[in-house]
Amino acid sequence: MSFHQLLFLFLFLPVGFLLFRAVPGRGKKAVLLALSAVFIAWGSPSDLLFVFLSTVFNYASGCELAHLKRARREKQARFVLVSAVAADVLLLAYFKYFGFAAREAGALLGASFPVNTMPAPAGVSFFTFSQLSYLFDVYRGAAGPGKPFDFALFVTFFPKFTSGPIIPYHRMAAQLHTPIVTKKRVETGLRMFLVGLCKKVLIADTLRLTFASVSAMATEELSMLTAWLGGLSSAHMLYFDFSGYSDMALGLGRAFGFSLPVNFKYPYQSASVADFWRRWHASLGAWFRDYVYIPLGGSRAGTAKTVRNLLIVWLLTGLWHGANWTFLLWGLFHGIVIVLEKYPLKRLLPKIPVPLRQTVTFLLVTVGWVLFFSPDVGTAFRFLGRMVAVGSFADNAALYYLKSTLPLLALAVLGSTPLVRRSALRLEHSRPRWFYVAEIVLFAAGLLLCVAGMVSSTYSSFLYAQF
Amino acid sequence: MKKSIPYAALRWLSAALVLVLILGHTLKNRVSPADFSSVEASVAPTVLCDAMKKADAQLLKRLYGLNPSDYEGCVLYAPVSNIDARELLLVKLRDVSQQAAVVAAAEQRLRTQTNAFDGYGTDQYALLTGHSAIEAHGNYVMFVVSENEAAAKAAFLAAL
Repeated sequence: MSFHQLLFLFLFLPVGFLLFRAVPGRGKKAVLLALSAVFIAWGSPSDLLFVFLSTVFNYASGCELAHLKRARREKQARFVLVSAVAADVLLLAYFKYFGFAAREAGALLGASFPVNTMPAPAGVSFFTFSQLSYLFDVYRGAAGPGKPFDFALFVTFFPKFTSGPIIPYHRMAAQLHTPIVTKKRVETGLRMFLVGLCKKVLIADTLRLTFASVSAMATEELSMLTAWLGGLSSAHMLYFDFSGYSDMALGLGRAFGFSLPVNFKYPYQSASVADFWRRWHASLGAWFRDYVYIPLGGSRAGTAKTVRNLLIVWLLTGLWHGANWTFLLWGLFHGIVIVLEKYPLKRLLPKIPVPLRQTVTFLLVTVGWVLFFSPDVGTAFRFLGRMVAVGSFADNAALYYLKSTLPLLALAVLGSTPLVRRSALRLEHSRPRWFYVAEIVLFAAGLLLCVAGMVSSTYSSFLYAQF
Repeated sequence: MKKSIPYAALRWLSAALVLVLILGHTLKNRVSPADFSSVEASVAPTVLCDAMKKADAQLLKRLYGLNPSDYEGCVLYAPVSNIDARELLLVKLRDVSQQAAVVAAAEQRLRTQTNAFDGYGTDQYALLTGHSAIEAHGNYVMFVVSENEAAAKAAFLAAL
């Protein structure tokens, strides 16, 4: 089930919310757990069985870890931690990378190794990382093992289950005790949900049409302008798709009594690639910082080790997104740029005007997205080649796409800046009467348009749900 | 010491059950060693007609969002005319983890076509709703819309 399906919007959400409000006290958590189980099992009941077993495994490991730490049996505690982390990582590798590894090994040896891996459960990368944070937090003493149903809710909480945000266990542990539900939180939560729905259905899914048309063309036939329109459409499609999802997740989390971390902070306003990663999918960046980069020594162990640590983190970030050389290359590309920003360009960057740095960062990120969306490295470089093919600047296809996409792209560019939100907040602050009426009309129109879009178009999943 | 025993047992039990789950799936979805061209040669004649022709990679990408180079074998026989609904998609996966994405693409194509012909082409709509099939077995997926869909299914299963 997905947030932008009619079934979710008109059945699961209202029924679930009414049940949640109707049940008092601790019963609310039981309702949330039941809702999350239905949400996970809807598409594939076997996913729920797998998530249940994985949750039991990690909770038992956490309890054992806490017990051994209390008994000061450090060696055994470390063994439990290492074995549990290894089991989680191996399982993730089985689902995501085994097929790819067999394929590449086959290509290298000139043989075929057909493998029969189980389809990955939805959200496997997200809930595995959540559970890893639990194991590390319990081992470090940042949190206790908690109660079994609280932990199960931490893993399966439906607003964040399929695509995050990845909240570390120690940050959610306190909230798991009692969800805080107030009228104000419900109101702002539902408003955030609706904004996210509009971002996904009205902007991302419309940009997807242009992007799909451009990527369906033979790369050699693309003019420079078409390639750029494809690149810009993909950059904004990705942003509005994933940030739309995150808004919906945060909004639902708030309406159901939980505060989830903000995942997107206007990333296309970033003045450097390092800054971009503090604003784009911030919860994943924070996870890698807290559980990989800092334990590796971070930037405290000299330049060579810092560079090594950064490149490890960025290769892993690329790999986390999928089993393909394009993702590895994409991660490495970001890692190299961040290393360059941190060392050789460190003194130069502050002297460059911010708008220029923002533009260069956006262009670098867009180049990265080409690696991200291309099916293979060869296609990615051919596509990048077309983006600098000045000799064939524009053709009829380019003019057609320009005409049909420009208004939406302009709206997307504007929407990816804080301008709209700032203006809305300023108006809300000054409280003119017409603002509330306009807001209601806007939200009602947005919802109607979204429903019309969802009814008329075929279903398109959230892009990050596949990771 | 006593306290950690049930947790250790739970750990092993849940890990063993996950392995059983994976093993069960592997045994249920056996990978077929059948050659793609031989499967195609068995299935295609059961449904092919003048109204269908072999599509190129671009059309496959446009209609299904699938990239043929991602698969060990992939062929689409698409309708020649926009007012026909008969088609056959046959895919040999590189690994079974690709199955869900290909099945989803076929389901989406079926939905798109059904919506397109609903209230417009009675025969095509009947074909799409009554004579279409998506078959996924291990490393092979077939999507067919044809009056002879039962024969195609039988030929597909026999060829694997």
